[in-house]
Amino acid sequence: MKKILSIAITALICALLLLPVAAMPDWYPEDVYSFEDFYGTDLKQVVDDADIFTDAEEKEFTAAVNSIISKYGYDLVIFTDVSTYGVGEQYYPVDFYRFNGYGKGAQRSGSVFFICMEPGNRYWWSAGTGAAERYYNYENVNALDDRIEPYMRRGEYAEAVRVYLQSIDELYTNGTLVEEVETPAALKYLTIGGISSIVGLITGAIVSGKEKAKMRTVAYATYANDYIVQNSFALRDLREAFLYKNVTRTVISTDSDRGGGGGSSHSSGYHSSGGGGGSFSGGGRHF
Amino acid sequence: MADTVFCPVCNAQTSANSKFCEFCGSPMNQGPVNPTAPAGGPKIEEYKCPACGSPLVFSTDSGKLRCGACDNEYEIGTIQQYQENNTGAEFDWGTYSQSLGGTLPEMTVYICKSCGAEIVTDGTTAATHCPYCDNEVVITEKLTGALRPNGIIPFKVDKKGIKEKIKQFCEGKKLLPNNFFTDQMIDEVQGVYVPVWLFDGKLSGTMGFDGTSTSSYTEGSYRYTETRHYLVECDGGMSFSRVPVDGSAKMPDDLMNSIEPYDYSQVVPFDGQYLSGFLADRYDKGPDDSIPTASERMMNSATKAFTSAVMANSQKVSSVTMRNNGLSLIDPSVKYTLLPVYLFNCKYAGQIYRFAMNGQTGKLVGELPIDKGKKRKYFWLPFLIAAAIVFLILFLLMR
Repeated sequence: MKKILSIAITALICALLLLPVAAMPDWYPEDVYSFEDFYGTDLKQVVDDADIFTDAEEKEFTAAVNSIISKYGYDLVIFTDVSTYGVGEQYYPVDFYRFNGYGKGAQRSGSVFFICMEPGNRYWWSAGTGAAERYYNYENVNALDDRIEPYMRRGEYAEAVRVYLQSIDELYTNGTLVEEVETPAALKYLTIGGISSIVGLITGAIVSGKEKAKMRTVAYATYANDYIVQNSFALRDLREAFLYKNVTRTVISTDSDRGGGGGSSHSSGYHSSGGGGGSFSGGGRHF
Repeated sequence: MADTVFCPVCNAQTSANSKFCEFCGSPMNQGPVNPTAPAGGPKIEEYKCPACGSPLVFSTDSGKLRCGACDNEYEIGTIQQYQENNTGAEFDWGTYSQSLGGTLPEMTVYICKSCGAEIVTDGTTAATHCPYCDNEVVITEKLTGALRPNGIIPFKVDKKGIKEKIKQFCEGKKLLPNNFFTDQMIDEVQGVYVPVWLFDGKLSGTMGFDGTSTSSYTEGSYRYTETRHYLVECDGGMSFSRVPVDGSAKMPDDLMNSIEPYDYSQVVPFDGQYLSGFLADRYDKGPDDSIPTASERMMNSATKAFTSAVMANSQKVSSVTMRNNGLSLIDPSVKYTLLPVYLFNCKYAGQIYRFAMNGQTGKLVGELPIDKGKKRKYFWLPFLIAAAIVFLILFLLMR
């Protein structure tokens, strides 16, 4: 009986040892510091590891992505996953782009659009590198967020990707996603006239007020400074006793829970120290 | 029994050496207490929290006064100092009369029919118009027994130079009507000795201030602003010499204030001969009437000097406001002096404009009439120029 029990315990320990323990994705290098950049071949432009798209949607997105790649010469990959495996939210999609060998040209120009479906940490992130990095400024990332966020919140991920692809096409074409509102001419002239009038009124009041003040040189004296005996003032024994303190707390205003923000370049330490990779700019939001 | 006393508030027995009741925390008076009649005992000081105004009670744990509402604790001595509130102390100028004395020799008095001013002169000078309201004056009687001034500053500026002074005064006054000053008006200038009380004294004592220092820091997603409150006290003093307050109700105070200061080193003992060719106003505001003005001016200057000095020397506070004025007046004295003033009035567009010139230094002050047409011009011209420039810049920028 004792022998059977010891065999059972040993078997249980062996079984536990064989269980997978949150392994990193296949594409993640074991030693990121010695990773050497390469250009990947036969790369998929839509990698749905979170399995949130149908096959038809994947085909649709692949076609649209390839169209954008051929139109602008920048790489583009749509990537989903169920976790970031402990890698920083901003770095995981960037690492995916780099360690899989995405990017066009010497600068590895291109964009990555990432949706993380990790329970409690759902977010989307988009970043650009190389020649595409300049499009990811603060205004454009905010505009992108305004367009995508409603679909993400409703769980309409496929629609969110469609909007993203339309937006990235618009962004590469126009250089901006910020829509310029044409001010009506009448309103423009009214505004200019109003501001000019206010400045004019202030200037007129200052000049005439200054001249008016010169006309009256009479005023009551409220001090006797002219009559202080020279060097007679003496201050002795200054005492300061602490009474109490008030502490007020104000929330530092943030732009909702919007993460990262456009225009901020970042790269993992191993990116820069390893000599590869490069800087990315991007932004995203939890949903 | 001798070692215990009764609390005048809750009537509980507590140690005779205790400053505060061991049961209710009320302050115990140090004077004799009748144990049989605690209700009629000494006056109880009620201390209030400087932070929230709630009553403070003595904490036996910390030996301090504690606020039950906001939990702040204070040293007893600090709170006693804080409660002192002697703002607006009145100075005792009671000894001034010792510095006055004597009476004037017989003088001629003119009385203005319009404003009632009593103009004194030496009998050889004829006053035809009141220097204050420009109306005719009438001679009434010889004046005897009037208070003799302690001193007088004789006229130093010649009347002949006034015309040039007025021209200089009007230079650069762009709103002045073109036809305002005429030679005829300048002929009406009258030299008047204005009665003035000169107050001397030293302010000395303790000033109390509410002091604060503010700092802020960030922790997490919050910004914290910490304001520390201090009771700031300092001892000190300063002396004032010859703070003037005019003793004539007819002489406008603002006009007299504006021609200050005079060089009082040139004060000479009064002699009736100095009045020759000039008029002298007889004072109708005594030193008692002038004390509030002098005290206020001295106190304002003292407060400003103390505040500046505290700010310069404090290691803890960044701003202070006065809460307790414990300054008292030492060695006060008042002297009656005549100061030389040239007065002239000008009627323009139905209004009288009054001017005064310091008869010692030549400083000229007054209110000049404003030409309405020029006033409009100096408003609308800058308005149009500035508006046009801004309009052009904005138009080019927003094109």
